[in-house]
Amino acid sequence: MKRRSAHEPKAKLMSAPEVWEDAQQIAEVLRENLLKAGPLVRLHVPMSVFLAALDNLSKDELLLLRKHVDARLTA
Amino acid sequence: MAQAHRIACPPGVTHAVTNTGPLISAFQPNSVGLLTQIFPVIHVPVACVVELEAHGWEAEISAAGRQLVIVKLTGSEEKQARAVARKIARHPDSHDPVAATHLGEAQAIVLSRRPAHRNNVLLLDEMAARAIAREAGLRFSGFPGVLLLAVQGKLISAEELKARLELCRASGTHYGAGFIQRVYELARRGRRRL
Repeated sequence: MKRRSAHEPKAKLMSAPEVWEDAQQIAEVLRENLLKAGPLVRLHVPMSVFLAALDNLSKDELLLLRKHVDARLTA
Repeated sequence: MAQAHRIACPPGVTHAVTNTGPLISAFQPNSVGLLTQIFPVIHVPVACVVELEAHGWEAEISAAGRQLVIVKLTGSEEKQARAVARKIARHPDSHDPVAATHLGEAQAIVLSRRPAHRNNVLLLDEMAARAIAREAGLRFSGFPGVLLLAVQGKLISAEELKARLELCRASGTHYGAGFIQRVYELARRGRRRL
């Protein structure tokens, strides 16, 4: 099996303050794109509809949801 | 993996265009799933795929499935990319004066200039290429910035960010111990909703 290696390990990379700017940059792009999708509204749905919607979530999404539920339950 | 010249980005959704380094950084701590929670589709130019394969990441490219889209540049774009690679090679922050070494990041920059990617994010870690991307008015982030955003959006904890960056470091990516500690401190300080 071929050994996996890093790319250009000697390259100069960004600094920690730039990492903060990067995260703000992505957040700004995500927010702008979300707003383009149309106005956001608070949606009230019957619990049964919400539970049915869970059937369409992927494993990663379910794990994320479980994490949020666990955090809420232990808060 | 998918191969296409253009994949439509629905309203409200943000795609990413990536260079080789950030994708390897995502592969190293098994973080492609996290990356695609933020960017459902990641576009990667052919020159980067060649580099990824040379580094032994073929299996991970295949495993990423349709969320990783390989894009071949047009002849004119390839010419532009060679010019960008020369510019990166000459930049004071460049570690290597050979233009061919920078073809991956140059292709990623040229791909990001397409109108279809105007509202998407370019993933780029190297200082010299980031300087050129900034000059071009592109919006970019390194892999650690994606992890920091994931902490701020409560997708992972600050401790998970640190563990993932340390795994990258252990696998050869040039994130120093001091850098990781400072990013971890930033992550602990500012958590907020996406």
